[in-house]
Amino acid sequence: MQTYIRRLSIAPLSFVTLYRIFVFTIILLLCVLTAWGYGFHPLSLTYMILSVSFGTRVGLEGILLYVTPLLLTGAACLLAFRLWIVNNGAEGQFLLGSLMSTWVGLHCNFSGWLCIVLAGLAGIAGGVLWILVPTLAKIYAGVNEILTTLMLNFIATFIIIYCVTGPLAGSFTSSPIIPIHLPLLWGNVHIGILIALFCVFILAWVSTHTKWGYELRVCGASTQAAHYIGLSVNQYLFIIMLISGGLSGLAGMLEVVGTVHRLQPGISNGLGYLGIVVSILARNSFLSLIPSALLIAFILNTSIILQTQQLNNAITLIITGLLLLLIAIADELAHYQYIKIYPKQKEI
Amino acid sequence: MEILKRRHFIGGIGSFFLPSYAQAETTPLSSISLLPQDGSIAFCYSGPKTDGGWGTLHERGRLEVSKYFPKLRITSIENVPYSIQATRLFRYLIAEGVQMIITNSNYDNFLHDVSNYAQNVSFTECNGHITTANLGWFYLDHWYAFYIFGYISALITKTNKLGFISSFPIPSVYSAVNAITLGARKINPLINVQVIHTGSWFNPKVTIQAANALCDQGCDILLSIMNDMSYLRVAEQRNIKAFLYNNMTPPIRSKAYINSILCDFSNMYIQQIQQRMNGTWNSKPVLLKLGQDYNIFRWGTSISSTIRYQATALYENILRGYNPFQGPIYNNKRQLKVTSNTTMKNIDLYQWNWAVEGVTGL
Amino acid sequence: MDIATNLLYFSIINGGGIVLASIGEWLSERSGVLNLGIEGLMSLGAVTAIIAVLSFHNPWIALIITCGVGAICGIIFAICAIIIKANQVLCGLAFTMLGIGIAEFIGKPYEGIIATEHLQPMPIPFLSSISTIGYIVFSQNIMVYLIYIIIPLTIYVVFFKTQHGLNVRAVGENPEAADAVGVPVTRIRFFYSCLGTILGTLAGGYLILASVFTWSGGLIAGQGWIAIALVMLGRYRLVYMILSGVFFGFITAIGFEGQVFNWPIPPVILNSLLYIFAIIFAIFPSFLAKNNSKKWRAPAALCTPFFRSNR
Repeated sequence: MQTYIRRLSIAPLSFVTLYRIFVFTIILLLCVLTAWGYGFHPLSLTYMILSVSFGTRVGLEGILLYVTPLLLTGAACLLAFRLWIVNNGAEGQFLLGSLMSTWVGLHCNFSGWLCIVLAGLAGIAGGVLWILVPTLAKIYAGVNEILTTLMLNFIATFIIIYCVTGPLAGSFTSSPIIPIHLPLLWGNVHIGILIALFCVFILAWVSTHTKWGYELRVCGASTQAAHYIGLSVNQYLFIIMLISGGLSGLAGMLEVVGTVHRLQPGISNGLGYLGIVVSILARNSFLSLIPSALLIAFILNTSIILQTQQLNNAITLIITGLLLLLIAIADELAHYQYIKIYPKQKEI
Repeated sequence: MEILKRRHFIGGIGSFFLPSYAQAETTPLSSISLLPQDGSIAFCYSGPKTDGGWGTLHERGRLEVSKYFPKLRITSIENVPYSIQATRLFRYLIAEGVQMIITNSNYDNFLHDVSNYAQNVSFTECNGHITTANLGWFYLDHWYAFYIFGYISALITKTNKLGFISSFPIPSVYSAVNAITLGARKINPLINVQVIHTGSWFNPKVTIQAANALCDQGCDILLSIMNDMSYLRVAEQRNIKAFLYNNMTPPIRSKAYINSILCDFSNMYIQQIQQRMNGTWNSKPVLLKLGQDYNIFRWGTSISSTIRYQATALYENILRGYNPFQGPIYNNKRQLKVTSNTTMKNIDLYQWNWAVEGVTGL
Repeated sequence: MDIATNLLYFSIINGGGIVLASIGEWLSERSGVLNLGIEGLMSLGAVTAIIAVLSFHNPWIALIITCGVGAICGIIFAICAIIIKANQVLCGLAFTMLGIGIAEFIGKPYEGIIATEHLQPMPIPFLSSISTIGYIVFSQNIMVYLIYIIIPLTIYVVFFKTQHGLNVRAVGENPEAADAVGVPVTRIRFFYSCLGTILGTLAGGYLILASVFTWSGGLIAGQGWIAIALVMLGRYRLVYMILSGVFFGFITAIGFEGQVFNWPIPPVILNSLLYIFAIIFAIFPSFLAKNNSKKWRAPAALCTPFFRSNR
C-alpha cells in the first residue's frame, strides 16, 4: 500500500468546513489565553461579552447596526472577487458615499421619502465616482487596482476632513445634523438592514439564476474561455467594479442617514477594510455573507465591550487579521487530499 | 489591571433592564440618584494616558480620585475616537452600570446623544459647549495664562514671530491664540502669531512636522495646545524656545523649555464626585481659576530673573482682578469687534470665535 | 541655511523609510512573491524600535532587534505564502491588519514617549564641507548612506552581476524553467521574501530613530502602501525607486509649509498630495509603457505560487 497527498483543483466543501471550524477554535483559544494573561477570568469575561452582546438591547442594536454596512461592503468586495479583483477601496467609496448623501441631506429643501431616495442615489453616485478612476486605469492601462483603490481611501479621508472643517462645517469636526432620517424598525435599528439584505438577496439571485450571472462566472473562471465564446471581459470588469463601488457608497449613505446623522472624519471606522474579511469568510457565496457579517459585527461589538473593561481595542484588528490569515491558509490546505493506493496484484 | 468581579457585570446588566435606559424620557430630571459607595465611574480620554501632557494630567487626576474614594470602581478608557464609536462606547458603559462619565475633550454631540437617553447618569466634559440637565462641562481659564505667556514671549523673541501648533479651529484655540497675541502686542506691536492646524489632538509625527514648518518660517518661540510635547525636541534641535501646555513634570533642564501650565484636576474631580454622592450634583459649568486651581510658574533654568520678575508682576496684577481683555480689540480683518470701555467676560472668552489682529493662519 | 535646503535635507531623511521598504518589496517581488503586508511590518518595526531604544538607550541595538523581529515575521509570512502556498494577496492584507493591530496593542504603554536616543548625523569628512550639497547629502546619519547608496549598490551587483542574481530573477520570471535547471525555487523565494520583510520592518525602525522619535497609533499612515506603489511606479528599477522615494519624502516634508506661507491651497490638499501623486505615478507610466511593455513589466511569475507537480 502506498500513501501520498494529492492537490485537488477545487476544494471540497466538507474539507473547507472542517478546516474553518478548526480555525475558529484556534482563534477562540488564543482570545481566551490573552484575556487570561491580562488578568481576566476567561469564563466570566466570555459570559459577560455574550450576555452584553446578546442579552441586552444595546448590544443587539449594536450588532444589527454594524451588520448593515458590513453586508454591503462585504457584497462589494465579494462581487469584485468574482472577477479576481481586490476592491481595497471600499473604505474610500464608503466615505464618498456618505459625503455625497450628507450634501444632499443638507441641501434638500423638501423632506420625506424623495429626499431619502435622492440621498441614496447620491451615495451610490459617490461610490461609483470613487471607483471610476481605478476601473478605467485597470481596463485601459492594466494598473493594479489594489494600490490605486487603496490610495483613494486616504484621499477620501482628507476630503472629508476638508469638508467638515470648510464647506460643510457644523460643530466641532462634524457637519451639522442632517434633517432626514431613515424610518426606525426597532430601537435605533433602521430599515437600512432590510435594504442591505435585499441587495444581498438580489445579488445572490442574479448570480445564480440569470444568464448575466452565468456569463459573469464564466469570465471569472477563465478569461480565455470567456473570450472564446465572445464575451467582453472588460465590459464585465467595468460593470462589476462600478456596482461594487456603488454598494460601498450605499453603505456609507445608510450609515449617515440611518445611524450617525452627520458627517465625521471617523465615520467609516474601518468598515470598508472589514468588507474584505467578510467576503473572504463568505467564500464565494452571497447568502453566506449574512453569517460572516454577523460574525464580524460581533467581533466589532466585542471590541467596544472590551474597551469598557480597559482592554485595548486594537485587539479587534489582531483578531480580524489572524482570522484572515488562518482562513487563507485553511482554504489552501482544504485542497489537499490524503489518498491511499493499493498496488495491483500481479496476475499469476 | 482590575479583575472583573461577577457582581459588577451582573449588576450592570441588571441595571440595563431597569427603566433607566429604556424609558429614559419619562424620568424626571430632578431625581438624579445618589452614587453608591461602590458605584462605578468612567473617565474617557481622547488620546493615550502616556502622552506626557493632557492625557497624563487627567490620568493623574483619576488616580487621586481612586485614592480618595477607594471603594468606587473607576475605569479609564484611552483613545476614544471622535465618531459613532464614542457614542457606542458611552452606551455600553451605561449598560454596564456606570453612573458618571467624565471625558476630556470635545465629545459634545456624541455625549449629548447619549445623555438624552440616560437621564440618571451624570456627564461632565472638559471643554464642552452643551449644557443640559445631566451634561455639564469644566475647563480652565487658560486665556490668562496664555496672556502671560504671550507677554513673556514678547520679551524673549528676536524675530517677532511666534508659532502656535493647534489641533482644530475651535473656541479654546481661538482664545489661547488671541490671548497670546494680545499679551505679546502689549509690549511689542510688531509681533505676529502664526497658527498651524494639525487636525488631531495627539499625533506626534504631525506635530513635529508642523513645528519644523514654523521654524522654517522664522518663528523662534513655539506654543501649543496639543496633547503631547514632541515639539520640544524640535525646539531643542533648532535652538529656539517653547512653552508646554499642561505638563506636570516639565523638563526644566531642557534649554528650550520656558514655562508650562501646571493644572491639577483632582480637586475638581473629587468635588464633583462628592456632590454626585451627596445627591447635590448639577450640571453647572466649572471654570478652574488661575492661581487657585492651576498655576504657571515652573520656569526653565535658562530663563533670566528679570523676565521671571516681570511675568510675576503681571501675574499678581491679574490675580488682583486686572482683566487684560479690554477694548478696543480689532479682528484680523481690521474690524472693531470690542469697543473701548468694554471688557470681555469669561464666558465671552470661552466662546471666542474670531481671531484678533496679528494672528495669521486661524 | 535657507528653507529650500532644509526641506531637501528633511526630504532625504523622510524618504529613507519609504525607499528602504520599497527595496524590501522589490527583493520580494523579484523572486515572485507579492508582499502586501509592508504597512503592518513597518508599524511593527516602529514599535519594536521605540521599545528597544527606550530599554537599551542605543539606536543600533534597537535597529538590530528590529531586524530580528522582521526576520521572525518574514519566516511566518514565508511559511504561509511559500511553503503552504496560501493566497499571497490575502496573506499580505492579513499581515497588514495583524501588524498594525499588534503594534497598537503592544505599543500602547509607549505612546507619546519620546525616544531617548536617535541616529546622530555623521558628516563625511571632506564632502560635507561643500556649501549646500554637503549639508543636504553628506551630513546625514549612517542609515541614510546605507539606504541610498550601499544597499542599492550591493543589490545591483548581486542581482545583475552574479550567477545567483540571474537565478533569483529566473525564479521570479519562470519558476518552472528555473526548477528544471536545478535552481532551488522554494528556498530562493523563502530567503528573499524574508529579506524583504526584514528591510520593511527596518524601515519602520528607521522612521522612529531618524525622523519621528515617538510612536503613536497611525504613525505609518499608508507609507507602507506607498512603498509598494513605489516599486510599481519605479518600474522595477532601483534608481527610479530611489528618486521617487526622495520625491515622496519631499512631499511629506512640504506638508505644513503651505499653511505657514499662506499659500492659497487648503492644508488638507497638501497633506493628501502624497497619495494623489502615488496614484498619478502609478497610472500614467502604465499608459506610456503600453508600447514597450516588455521592458517595463512586473516579474511574470509574481503572485503565482509554484507547484512542482504542475511543471
